[in-house]
Amino acid sequence: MLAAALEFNNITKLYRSFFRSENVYALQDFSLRVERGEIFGFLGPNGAGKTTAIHLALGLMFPTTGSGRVLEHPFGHAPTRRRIGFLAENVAFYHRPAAKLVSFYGALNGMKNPQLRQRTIEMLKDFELSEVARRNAGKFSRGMLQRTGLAQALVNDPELLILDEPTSALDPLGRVQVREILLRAREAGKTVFLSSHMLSEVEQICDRLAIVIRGRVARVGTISELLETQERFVITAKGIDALMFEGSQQNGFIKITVPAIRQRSVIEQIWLAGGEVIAINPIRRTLEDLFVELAQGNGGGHKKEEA
Amino acid sequence: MRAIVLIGANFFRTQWLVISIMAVYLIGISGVFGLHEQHTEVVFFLRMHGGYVLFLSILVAIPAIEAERKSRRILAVLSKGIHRWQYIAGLLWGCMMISGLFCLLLGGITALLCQQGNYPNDGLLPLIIVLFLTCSLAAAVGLFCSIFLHPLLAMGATGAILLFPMMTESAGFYPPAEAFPVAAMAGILRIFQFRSAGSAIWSIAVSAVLQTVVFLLLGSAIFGRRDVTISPE
Repeated sequence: MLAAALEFNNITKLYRSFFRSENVYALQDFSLRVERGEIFGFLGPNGAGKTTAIHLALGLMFPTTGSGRVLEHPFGHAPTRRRIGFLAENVAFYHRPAAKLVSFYGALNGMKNPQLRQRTIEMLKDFELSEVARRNAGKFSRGMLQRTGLAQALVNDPELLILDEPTSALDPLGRVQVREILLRAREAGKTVFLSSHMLSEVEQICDRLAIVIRGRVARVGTISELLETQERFVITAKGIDALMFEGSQQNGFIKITVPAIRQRSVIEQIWLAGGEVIAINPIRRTLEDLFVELAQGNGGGHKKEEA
Repeated sequence: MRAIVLIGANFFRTQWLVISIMAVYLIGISGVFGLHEQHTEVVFFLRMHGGYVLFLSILVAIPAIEAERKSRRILAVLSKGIHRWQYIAGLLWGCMMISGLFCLLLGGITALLCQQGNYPNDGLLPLIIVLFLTCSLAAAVGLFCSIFLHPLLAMGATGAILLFPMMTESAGFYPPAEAFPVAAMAGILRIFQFRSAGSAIWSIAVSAVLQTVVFLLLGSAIFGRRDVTISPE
């Protein structure tokens, strides 16, 4: 089995409050494995611990307990970070021309000219920043800043891309562009770890995803694994009275939604009533349904330390 | 090494406003001194502005890390393939570039004023070199304290570390000058006359270099074990 691109092993992160009495668990027994070559979606309500997990992976902070590995090295291993591209949420940069910024971050990753110059030009072109390459990034709109952030994250052609809300400030065209870039990265064998609140986007491009609630992984799996539920079914039948089964009539067919436990008895009732069962389909939830269900069921954000 | 130079140059660039104001002030005030030039005024100019340059080194070093953390710009830098010690060394390099520029400016203006008035400028070059080295130490101590203290507390702690002998003088305790190079430099500036510098000034220089390295290593070790992002509210 190939080593994981990113691995969290029973990590707990406790934010200690100096003056206030309450401490906050950002992550608790947090374990997650991201395989190489996949686009992995990382979801959770605000304050669930997503950004903390990302910062731990990059060595920007240290776990209270537990450990983790990124590209086969422990978290915080500086040379490994040269193989990672990172875009932070609420991106902030120095007040310098966009081209110089991208080049500066590439150089920090050990890139040298002429490769650095070439990649900088490519990235600016990919993110449609060529025309503003000489403009001060401090005066950019949020969307342009995010494009600059993506350009600097990709300039070193990373094996692992860690993106925290990469499209939150982009217009629909920009989102499509980013989606295409991420799909191209996957085709090239790169791994993408994508934290986002754009559920439709995650649903479209992610191979697997995890939902984090109150510092723990609440669900992890492929989209189809997570969205298909065996709890309720829709039975499509014909030749019966819709009122008898509390169903809805569509194009001459009756659609009856039943819990799994009643599935067999309802089918028997349809047959006894002289009807015909056309199809039985499990109900597929939307990602939003699942997300809301999990978040509301667990109270969402951080967990305060229990006395 | 390249990362240190890049971070240092970048820090220098971010301080352009402070640098411009101080440079304009130094050049402007030197014009005033040049108009009514007397030997005592040149000495006063050097003494006073030597102290300013020392203070400026601390002033730019202390808020450096906190400003980067609060603006979240530190995330993009430290997520790259650099070590934490390289980041601290880069900031120190940036502070050294700033103090180096002002030491150069101060030395150049003083030499020019001396030349205009036909006064001797003996001891000026060694003084400026040692001033630069003590400025570097002041910046290193400022950075060190700001790693684990709020900038205001770091300012107090830096002052206490650097000017310890001045606080103990009243109690009749006089620690060796070499142990506290910045305080020794402040003392030298206070009584400086254009005379050939003795060998004592070089022992202060060596001590300043060694202490700068020690504070850089200590600061890097502490910074390497700290979370750089701010915890959620």
